[in-house]
Amino acid sequence: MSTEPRDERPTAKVDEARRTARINTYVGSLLAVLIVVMVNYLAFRHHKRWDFTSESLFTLSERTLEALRELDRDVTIYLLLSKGERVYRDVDELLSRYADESDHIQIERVDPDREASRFLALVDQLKLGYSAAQVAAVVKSGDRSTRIQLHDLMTPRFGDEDGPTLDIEAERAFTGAILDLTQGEPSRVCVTSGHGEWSADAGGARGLAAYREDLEPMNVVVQTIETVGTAKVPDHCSMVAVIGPQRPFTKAEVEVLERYVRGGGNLLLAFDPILEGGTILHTGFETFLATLGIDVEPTIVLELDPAKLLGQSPIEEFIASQYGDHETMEPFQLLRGPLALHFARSVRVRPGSKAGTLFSASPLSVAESDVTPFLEGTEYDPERATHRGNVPLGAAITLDPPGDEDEEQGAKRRIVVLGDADIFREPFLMQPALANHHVVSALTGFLLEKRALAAIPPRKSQLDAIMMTSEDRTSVAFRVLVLLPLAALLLGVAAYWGRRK
Amino acid sequence: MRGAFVIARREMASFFGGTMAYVVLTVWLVVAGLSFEFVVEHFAQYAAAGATDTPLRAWFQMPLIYIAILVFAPILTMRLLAEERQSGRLEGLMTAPVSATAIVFGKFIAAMSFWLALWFPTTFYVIILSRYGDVDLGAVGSAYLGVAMLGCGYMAMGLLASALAGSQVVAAVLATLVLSGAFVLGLGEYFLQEPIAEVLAYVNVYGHMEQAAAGVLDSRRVVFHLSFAALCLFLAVRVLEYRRFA
Repeated sequence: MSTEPRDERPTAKVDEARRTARINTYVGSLLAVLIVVMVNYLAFRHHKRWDFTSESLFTLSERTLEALRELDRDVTIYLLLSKGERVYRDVDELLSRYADESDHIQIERVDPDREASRFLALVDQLKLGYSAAQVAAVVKSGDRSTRIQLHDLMTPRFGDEDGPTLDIEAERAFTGAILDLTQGEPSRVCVTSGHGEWSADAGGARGLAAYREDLEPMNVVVQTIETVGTAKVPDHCSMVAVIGPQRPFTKAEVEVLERYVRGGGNLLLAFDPILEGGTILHTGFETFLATLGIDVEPTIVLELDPAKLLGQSPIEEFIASQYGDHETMEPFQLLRGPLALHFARSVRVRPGSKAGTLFSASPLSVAESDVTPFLEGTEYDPERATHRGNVPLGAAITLDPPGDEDEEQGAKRRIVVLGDADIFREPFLMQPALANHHVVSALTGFLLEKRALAAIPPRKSQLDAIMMTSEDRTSVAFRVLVLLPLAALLLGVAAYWGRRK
Repeated sequence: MRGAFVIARREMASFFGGTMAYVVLTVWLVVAGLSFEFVVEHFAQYAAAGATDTPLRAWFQMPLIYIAILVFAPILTMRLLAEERQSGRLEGLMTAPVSATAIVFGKFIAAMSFWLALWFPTTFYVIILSRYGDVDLGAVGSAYLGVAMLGCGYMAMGLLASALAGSQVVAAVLATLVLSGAFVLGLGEYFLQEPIAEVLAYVNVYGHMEQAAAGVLDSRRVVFHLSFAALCLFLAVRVLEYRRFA
């Protein structure tokens, strides 16, 4: 408080100076506010991001930048993640970079939790149907669109030398989707016919309508082809699917498919055990698959763990929740989602084969080649089963590219063999509690993987952020909660004593 | 400029020579330590937590940290000019051969020193984390740059409140109200729809810090915090200039 005597009668000059100072203050302040608003508006419109992470997690790869530079049509990416999702910020950050790089990219963020009506309208508009909850984003250009699921964005890996890591695959998923929509032709799944296979056009029992409808929004066309009497699989087939044949393929037909695979094609085989004359029919593919180290066994699988049965019979509907060592099954190893099957046969990987097991029945399951007790209704003794415990039900293999071919040029050559076609059953695919939809999507994605997708390697992030024993944790708590604040307090006491002295 | 440094040195000597600085530092380290301990326990017990987050990033998402910041920032700045005015020293300072700009700038340097002194001991947490896991030093650097930028804005706002208010208590209340209001407003990003959410994201300090802790620095955040700080400092200078004539 000033103690100097104030002049009660200020002169006109002082008044004038005060008025000028007041006006200067107000005008200057207003101008400063306006300048700051303008600067921020400009910064908002023209900005730049710096990625300081050691793995450059948020820096777009050259492949993506190239794809965005060449983009000549509008692409809208609908981000359908809840803002509460832990990955939301990272994915949003990455997508913002896409939008910054190209004026053709529009990002629409729709939070399913907070914008329910908008989300439902989009589900309807984008025809997401029952699988909407699993969709993290939809990439749309014109009338074509493709879906990206949460597990497409990142995959945990537990087999690395450096311990568990996380493959950040979001960029690969988004760039792949953009390239696929704007440059790529639709992928074609060619479903064989002529052997009593499941129909690509029909719905209901032995119909693939649900599978087809699920793939269409992902720019995948499902169509029927004939293999009887043909010498070659049509060139446009991205993969051939043989689903639930009731009669064996002839040697000539298998040779056609074998040539297709050797030439760079992808093959999905799903065989139910077909009983005829008291025996299980062979499929016609046994010899070919045996050369790859995969045995499609003439057995039926009995699930003897009552907890895994969906009905009364151990050979009918049951659950498999043991996932194998194949790369496509890694996300499921963690989740152990139930995969529903019905009347399956075993598919075994031979030791030394490059193939990987996809999934197995429970440790109590058995595979039986002698079907007489089931046909005659006599008592069955599981102790005499052909194979006992963890009966494998599917296998997948990636063949090495031929020597004169460069893998970059697209020769993938992948084969998936399933011991049950009912995995494609419509009620199983549509039941959110079951893993069928996810497993089928993962296997189809594995077979249809685009070259553009493989060109962007995933970025690895360490999964086990902290490795500590309980003693370590106690020690850290002591240092952080006691020693550090105590040090600050002692400094304060020293300062106090210093002042007193 | 020399005058500014003289004032900054005097201010720092006064602050660190008293007990207030150490009380604030001790309480802050307890609060920050509790948050850190919670994060460490969480990550040590649930390996899957590392799938989508890093401990450092999780620490910067702890609400307790922001509550502490919103309390301590006004405490650090309330006395800067309000105390001078309350004690009558401000008039003397204004008649001294130093400009209002030098006074404000000197006080601001001192306030930033307090702010950085608060955060410096938390680098010990990074050292601890590096002993028990991988620490991305790039992301650590980015996080502390974010902290420094946040400090610029908060300290400048506190200084302006101190320049405007007649007493330290009023200055602290004013700064707390403005900073908390802005903080809560920014959180609206998570509850409101676009395009409002996009505008609020621009001022969302919590989001800015989360982004910086992830290892990303955005020019928009830099401009926002530095321009806000510059505006507050400019206004504080204008307030002092005005008082000189009033």
